[in-house]
Amino acid sequence: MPANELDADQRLMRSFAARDPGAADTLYRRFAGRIYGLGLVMLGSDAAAQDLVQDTFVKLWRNAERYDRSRGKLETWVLLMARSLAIDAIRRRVLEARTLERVDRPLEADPAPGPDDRVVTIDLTERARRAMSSLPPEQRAALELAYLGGKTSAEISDLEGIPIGTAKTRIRAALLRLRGSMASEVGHEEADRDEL
Amino acid sequence: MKRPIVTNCDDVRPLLPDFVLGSLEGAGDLDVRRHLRGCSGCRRELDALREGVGVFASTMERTAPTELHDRVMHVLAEEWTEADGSSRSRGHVPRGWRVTMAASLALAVVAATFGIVQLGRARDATDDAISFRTVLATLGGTGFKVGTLEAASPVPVEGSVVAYESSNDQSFVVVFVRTPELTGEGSLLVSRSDGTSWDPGPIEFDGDGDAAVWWVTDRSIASMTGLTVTTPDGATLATAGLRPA
Repeated sequence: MPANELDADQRLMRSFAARDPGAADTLYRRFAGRIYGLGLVMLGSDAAAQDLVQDTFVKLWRNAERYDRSRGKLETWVLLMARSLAIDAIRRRVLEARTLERVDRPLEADPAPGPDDRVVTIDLTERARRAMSSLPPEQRAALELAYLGGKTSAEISDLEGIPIGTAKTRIRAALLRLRGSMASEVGHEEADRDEL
Repeated sequence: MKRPIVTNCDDVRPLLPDFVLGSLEGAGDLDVRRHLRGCSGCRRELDALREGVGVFASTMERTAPTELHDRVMHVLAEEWTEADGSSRSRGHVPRGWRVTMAASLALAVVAATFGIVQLGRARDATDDAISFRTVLATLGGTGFKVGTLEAASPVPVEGSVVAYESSNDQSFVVVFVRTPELTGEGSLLVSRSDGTSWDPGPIEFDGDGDAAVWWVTDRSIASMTGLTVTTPDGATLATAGLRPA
């Protein structure tokens, strides 16, 4: 990633830490859609997804000083934070369900109109989805279990009945393949533009 | 039994998927972090995996409801209004029993491991990075910062600062100071890398000139760069630079 992009992210987080509403707005517009979508996928309801966005932004602000650009992209940091909160929410649900002895009931979907009605697919998302669909099923399954299910390689190994090394390899291969697919698409686009 | 120490790329690379997804904990997490600091090849692999995570996350993007924007901004405004009054705790911890226990445990472990209650040993303790890593491997957490107090005047001062950052967005800082015959309530000032500083509260010197104080905060130790101790009459007694242990 270009150094100036990293610097821009560091400046953005410093401004956010210093309570700059403009920085908060920038972060919201950059990440809210992805956090909200993650919430829909992981938590299954519009209300829970909105709560996830709110909780993530509060946590993001409380930890803004901790952002260290040398440790990676802001995107990764924010979205893993959101994922971690979503996993916490799922665990709380399981705990509550156990407490109420209703473990056999599936999580209820939000009765409100589904957010799919107002889905706006943006280009980046579409490209990412194409990349995702190009993954072999076993790699995709391992990645979804790891990312959406919060499972470790060891847990995936147990669930899938595969050696732990295979689980690690599938997750790694899936991530590298996604990254490679996107880079390839961007490369083709740039080549197309150069030809015009 | 001693755990195996992960030291080379062949050991670390299989751990990177779990590391990048945040599901690697404890000693394994520390080993990977340590290796990454000194290995550009594994850092490149890590960056590639992180980009893959970003692509995966992008597949789930949806348009958030328009009213959510105002809701989030309102909540942030509330946070900002209340932040100054609730960002720290001294002696008691507002976030409940679990954090209190963690703070007490870490404080006890730090004190017991390094003998820093005895100021004569404090200077040696700050150099014992291996022991700090052992504590991290035991407790979890993301790191320590340590500093030795240096007198700001001819008045002799001994003391140390140990700051610990947990994995639960909590940090705690402990300060030990000894200076002859000083009594009363002094003050502390933590300086930060962005040039700002904050006041964690007073420090009480007993009749022998001994003082110790600790506090828990939701501020990260990452930006803490130093500490200044001021006497009850407002003179600068000592300063310490904080460095990662």
